[in-house]
Amino acid sequence: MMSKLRAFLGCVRLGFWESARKRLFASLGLFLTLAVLVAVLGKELSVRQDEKILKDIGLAAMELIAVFFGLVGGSSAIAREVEQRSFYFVLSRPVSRASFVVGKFAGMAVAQLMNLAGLFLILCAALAQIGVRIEVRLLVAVLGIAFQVLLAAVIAMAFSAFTSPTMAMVSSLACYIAGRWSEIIRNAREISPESPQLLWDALYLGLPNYRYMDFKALAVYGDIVPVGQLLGVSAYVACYIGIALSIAVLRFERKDLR
Amino acid sequence: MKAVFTLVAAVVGMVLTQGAVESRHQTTDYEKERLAAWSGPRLRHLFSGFELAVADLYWLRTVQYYGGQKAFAQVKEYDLVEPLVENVITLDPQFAIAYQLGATFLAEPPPLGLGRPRSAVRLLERGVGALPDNWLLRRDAALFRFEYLGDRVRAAAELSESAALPGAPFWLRTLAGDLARKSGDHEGAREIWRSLATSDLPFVQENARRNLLRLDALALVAAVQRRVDQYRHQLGVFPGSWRDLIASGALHATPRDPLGVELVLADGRVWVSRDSFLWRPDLQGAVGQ
Repeated sequence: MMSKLRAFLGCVRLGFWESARKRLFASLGLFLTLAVLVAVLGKELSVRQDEKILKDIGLAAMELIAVFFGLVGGSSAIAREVEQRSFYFVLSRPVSRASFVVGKFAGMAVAQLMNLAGLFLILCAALAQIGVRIEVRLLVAVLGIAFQVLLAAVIAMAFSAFTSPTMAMVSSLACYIAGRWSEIIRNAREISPESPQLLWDALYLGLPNYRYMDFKALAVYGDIVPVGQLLGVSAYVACYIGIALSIAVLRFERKDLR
Repeated sequence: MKAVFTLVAAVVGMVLTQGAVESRHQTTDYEKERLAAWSGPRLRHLFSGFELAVADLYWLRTVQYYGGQKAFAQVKEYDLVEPLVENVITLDPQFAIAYQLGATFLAEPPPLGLGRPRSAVRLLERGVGALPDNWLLRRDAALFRFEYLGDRVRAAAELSESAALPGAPFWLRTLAGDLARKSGDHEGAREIWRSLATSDLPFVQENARRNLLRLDALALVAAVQRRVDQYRHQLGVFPGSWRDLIASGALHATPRDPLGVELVLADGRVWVSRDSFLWRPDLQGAVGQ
């Protein structure tokens, strides 16, 4: 039992370091540069809107950067292991393929969340630098971004169990974009009246709806996110992660690795 | 050595050709085309989830465009202000400052703005619709309605509504009462600009101060015009220059507007000089106001 747990933690560690290496610092550096630029320019150019602009652009950039690195990390999580045959080393230990996938995702999730925490600290520092008091409600927006990152990463990981890292990246990016524009998918029959409604409904329900997790505007304008909504979104994300991880595990268990 | 020669030749060639290319380059107003294509609800769909950040970028562009035209353009055209502000508030309907400053940019007569007060009031009304609890927007809508459209009854009613909103200062109620009593004289306008001069937005403050100076200039022009009319009444001819008026004892010195620029006297009419920053079309030949 202990050896299994130790092996699982080894997978978590592996997932963490793979995600954290290089990418973490690249994303932090990129965001730091952007935050400093927005803080300096916003003050000069915006007619006293520097706080709003820094929050808006800061949160939007946090989301884009974190989701992008989530997609990159997830899309190479399994496929690269298979390509480089490095999983043999891990699987030679007493660890099941399912534990390997789940452990890698857990490690990757920790790395992505640490990355997000770093980005948030940079945003807080930039806000403090222009004399803005940090409000707790910003954390709600960051929580929404964390949900999106986890979802993007797990979907990319599921794709990565089926195909190459590049294809997994492209497919999961397409899912992210479609999930952002889910309203268009829902109303697609207005553009193509002959197409079956069932198809669009299935796509709308099947694709992750990233709009649910977007609390940026509410946080910036100080509106309250109802606890019920927050719990509902958390449950939605948990279910989606469960589905995507199950698909990844099922596929990886049946994969011929010889 | 060959590489150095090639490099030098290429640099010289580039400098020479750049001048030629630029002289033939036809400027297209890409911004107008882009604004026509990227506008309204289309923008919201396009930047789904990132509306606020894109609204900020459009806002920065609006401020830079207006500031650039005001400070540097020889022929000041502000025609992109309206579509730019429209994009900002379509993407972020809660962007209060876009309504406030956008309305000022629109309402001010040229050369400081577009001179479209009705559009300005419409914009503020949209702001009031989007942010019904914002007393500043309601106040600005009332004041603009009074100052630019001359609708004092509705302005006073709107100001009373603004006074009832949370955070509104107590003196708004008094101002509403005063506005309801004022007729076409400049005292009502002066009170409006005095109240706007307390704004925490530098541009609104600056604009209000400029308008207060403009009202001072109007009062001065009217006073000097009375002296000119008196001179004509006594001597039967208009004074040819300020020296005539000074010699007759009607004035002690050459009259200057509040910015220190000499007033203009021509054909018996007193004007604010076009060289003055206070010059406006309504100050040309303002008589007996």
